[in-house]
Amino acid sequence: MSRTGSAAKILYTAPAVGGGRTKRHTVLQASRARARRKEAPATHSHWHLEIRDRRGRLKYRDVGWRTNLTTDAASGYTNRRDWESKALGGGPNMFYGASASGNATATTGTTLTNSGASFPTAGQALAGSVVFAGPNSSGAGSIAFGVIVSNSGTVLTIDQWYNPGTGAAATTPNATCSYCVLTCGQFPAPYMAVSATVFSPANTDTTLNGELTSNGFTRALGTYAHTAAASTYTLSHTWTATGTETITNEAQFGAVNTTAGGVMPFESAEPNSPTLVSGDTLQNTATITIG
Amino acid sequence: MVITFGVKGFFDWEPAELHPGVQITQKDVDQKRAKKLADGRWAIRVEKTQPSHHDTCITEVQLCDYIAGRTAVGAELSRQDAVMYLLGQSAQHHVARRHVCEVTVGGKTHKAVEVSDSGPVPELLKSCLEARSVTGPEAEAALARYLEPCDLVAAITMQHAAAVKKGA
Repeated sequence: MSRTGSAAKILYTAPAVGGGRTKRHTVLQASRARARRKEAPATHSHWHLEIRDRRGRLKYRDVGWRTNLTTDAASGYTNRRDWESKALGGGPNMFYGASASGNATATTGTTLTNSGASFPTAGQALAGSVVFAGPNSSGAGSIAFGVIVSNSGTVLTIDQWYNPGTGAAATTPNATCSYCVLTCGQFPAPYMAVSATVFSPANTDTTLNGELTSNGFTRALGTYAHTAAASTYTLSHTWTATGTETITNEAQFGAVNTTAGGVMPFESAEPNSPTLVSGDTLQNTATITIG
Repeated sequence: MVITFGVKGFFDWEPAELHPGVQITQKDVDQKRAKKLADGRWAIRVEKTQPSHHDTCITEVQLCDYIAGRTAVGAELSRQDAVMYLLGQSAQHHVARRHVCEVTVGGKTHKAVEVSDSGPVPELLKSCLEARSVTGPEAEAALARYLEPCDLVAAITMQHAAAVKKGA
């Protein structure tokens, strides 16, 4: 067989959707055709919502699972694909250099400065990585970590300092604390939030429009659950309302601090917008498909 | 806190097209056995029979947040109550009680349940209660309930036993 003939041998022909006939075309033609199409909707998570009154009686429940909207705009450290690629692959700044660890020259509730550092600043820089802070060279100061939301060459801006043991907010580390930036992968997106603003989610969204921060509906850590070898994991959270709110949308985030934002990989609209009054509980479950 | 069940099977999701001839009804959707994907295709919940383990992670901040939220509207619950509620809400989507293995240790057979728990953090509950304006005797009572000794493995196993008696 000639070399040309071997190269042209058909190895696979994709079946038509629905089993009918379809026009044959080459991989290059398919690639060009795809370039002319808009991003197709993708499903990576589903949501379920349940509301009970203060006595635990069911008031409202979604009919089945609602499909999500996956954020896929190329706008920096904000979307699901960047989040997944960095979490699984390590990210472009893996083991980037000496300033990945050292001693700070200043700290605040949302920053860590090392005036002698040269943190990478290209692209999404260190956004999404975790910085751990510990006692300084004299042994003074506490242990805490923060999720980097942006950085300059010498300043890491975090969402807040966390207590590694409980997940609660921690005190600001010593001004000359030791630190280490975990440059492999990034912080996950285990926080759940709801909104009372009516809008249609779009895959270009980077924040949850009208995210609630009052009446008991602050952004909160979800309960994580997964069975080894299963194709999904779930995050669930129960809010207790301390005032009246109508829930319109939900999202997941990679940081607890609302003002800092963090990556928002998934977002979903609640089509029937249930209203809660004080004492009601809102139990929200997201099932995320991982393969 | 990490709660681990040794399981002999579990629920998972597969594309409906992997099951030629499967018919999805509204009842399947209502009961969360089938779900539609954004591109119009369907996925169905299937049961897989294979040894595995199911993990649930409930952090102390979640427990305190839940207890404080419920306390603020007049509920009274212990740390164990909160764990059992949060575990129940989460695990139902992954495993049924019949999936949990039994193990025999020292001649005694019991459910394969492990709990890794660092224990209560009173300061954290106090701050969560303060954030919801729960103070004074109400806060002290909530704290006392939170600190009540509990045996989570026994509680989870007992819940399982009760469910089996009911035929779950």
